[in-house]
Amino acid sequence: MNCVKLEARLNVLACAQAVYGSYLQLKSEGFSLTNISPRLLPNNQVGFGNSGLKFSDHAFLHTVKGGFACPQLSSFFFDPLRCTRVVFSLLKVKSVCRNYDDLPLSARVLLRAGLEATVVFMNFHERLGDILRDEKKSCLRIGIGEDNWVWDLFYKDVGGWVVKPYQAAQKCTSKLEFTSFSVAHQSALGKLNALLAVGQGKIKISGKIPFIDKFGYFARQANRILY
Amino acid sequence: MVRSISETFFERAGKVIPGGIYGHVSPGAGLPENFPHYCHDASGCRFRDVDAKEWIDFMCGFGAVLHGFRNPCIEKAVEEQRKLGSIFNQPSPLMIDLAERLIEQIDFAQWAVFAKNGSDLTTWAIRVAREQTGKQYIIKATGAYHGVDAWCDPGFGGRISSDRQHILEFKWNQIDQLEDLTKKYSGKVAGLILTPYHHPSFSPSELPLPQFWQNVEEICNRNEMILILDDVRCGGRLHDQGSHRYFGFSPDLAVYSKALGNGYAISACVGREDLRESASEVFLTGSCWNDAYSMAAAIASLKLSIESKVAQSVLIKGQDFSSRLERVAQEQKIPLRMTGPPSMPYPWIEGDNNLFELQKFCRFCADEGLYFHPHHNWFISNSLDDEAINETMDKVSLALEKMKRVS
Repeated sequence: MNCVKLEARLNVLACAQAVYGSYLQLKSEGFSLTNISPRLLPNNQVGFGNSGLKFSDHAFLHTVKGGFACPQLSSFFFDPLRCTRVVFSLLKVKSVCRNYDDLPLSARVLLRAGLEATVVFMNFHERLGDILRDEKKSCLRIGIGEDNWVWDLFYKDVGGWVVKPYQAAQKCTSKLEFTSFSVAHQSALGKLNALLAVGQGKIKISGKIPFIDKFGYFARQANRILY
Repeated sequence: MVRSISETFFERAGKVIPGGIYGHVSPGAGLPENFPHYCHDASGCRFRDVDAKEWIDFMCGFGAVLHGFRNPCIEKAVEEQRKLGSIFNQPSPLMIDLAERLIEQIDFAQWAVFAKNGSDLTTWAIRVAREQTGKQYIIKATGAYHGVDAWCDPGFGGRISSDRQHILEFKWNQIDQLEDLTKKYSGKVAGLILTPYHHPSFSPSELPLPQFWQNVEEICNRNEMILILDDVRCGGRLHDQGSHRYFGFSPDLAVYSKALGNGYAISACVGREDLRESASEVFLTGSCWNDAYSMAAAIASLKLSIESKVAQSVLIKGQDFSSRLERVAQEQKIPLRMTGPPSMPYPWIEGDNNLFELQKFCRFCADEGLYFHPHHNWFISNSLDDEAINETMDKVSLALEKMKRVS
């Protein structure tokens, strides 16, 4: 991938990956959804799934920020059925993210979205990517509530930094724990200052702090884009 | 544990100060959650937090306090100067007294300048090296801390790629790497900045290998590079006349701060005669840099260090403390070893590379009122007495028993 061009479109990719992260989380929780894996396309467009559904970068960012934007209508001429399914999946992701009645589910989905966006910055940030050069053996375990570990964030030779569901066999080097679903939810929505939350004991960190520090820097970059 | 007042202050701080607290004790530093956010008062080797909990201190204001909090000799000197004032349009003659004392005390020094923080003068020193040699590159050890400026700070925010364009790094004690760099950048390196020994955060301290400093001196001489000693953290704790004396070498420039004023903000850079002209070419000023209180404190602190052989004293106290602490830990089957010089020990638990166990140890000790930092080297103050060390050992035993029960 052309790094210069990607750097310019990092925000779009981060947002698209966040949406995809929400989808992955919902799938892992048993929701039936059509694949919406994102792709950056030429001419400042972003596509979802194998349907041909695509948005302009601008329209997509507008959608994520809470507005509504039309996908490019030409998408529907190629495979109208699949396109419609993808649109329904996207709408489902959006509705779960915004339904705060099921706080644990919403918190997990939103946090996963934020983590996936963070990983995009960790993998592709041209200027700061090298601060992770010596961290390829690091693994951050993320949990909500005491000893309720949900994800591991680590480096893979193929694919770079990834977020995967927690596995006890995976050796972690740092831990980040949201003390409640409410804290996780607020944090995922960008309504909680993470540093203050750590000072207030709402978020607990332990282990290799420099890696959490680096992760936190990228997470804040991602958060600025998403919220 | 009651931390309500501390928490209330932190709540207020969060509204008016980015991140609540910044620097060494910012929340992002990952300190144990039972550490206090704010201090109320301190005396000798103890302090009380805002919730009136008393702590035995092993951080000494992150090294700024060598003779103990509110040392009477130093406070008296400051009180005397307080009758006259601190900041004027011109410096106080105390500036000359302090420069003369440093030159008398530090063997290679023939001039001195003053500022407020270590960073002020480590950055200034590398510019002096560039002015003197007409070269651009500076070499430092990977992971070494030399201050808050963009060429060396450990943060990421606001950094641009050109900030470190002329900074090269080698691994501490790896003389071959240093040689390779000087060959690769032959004729382009202005200077080498190093601490007396390697004291990175989050890792065990590393003393220089035999011949390390002699090799460094030889490489600098051969390549016409200025050797800058960053003695900000160690100054006064290894040798009363500069840490280079402890390790047996001679730098071209040395920067001091922290213990120099025993808690009053001051830093100094001293240098060889042949660097005097370059030193006068590199701009140097700050609104409060002529602060006479800090200079009075520094003169009293330096005098006290010589009279009471303080460096030797803190090394002996640190040795006693470290060996007893290791013994108490080993009795509980915890393979704790204290790394670095005894006056500035950093604890390391074998096999605990990610620090989970050390963090837990420090958290349990904090419950007993011991201020043990899990990520930064500790500092022994000369006010640490036998009573405090004995009390510390009892508290550590208690903490370890509780820790074992929980595990």
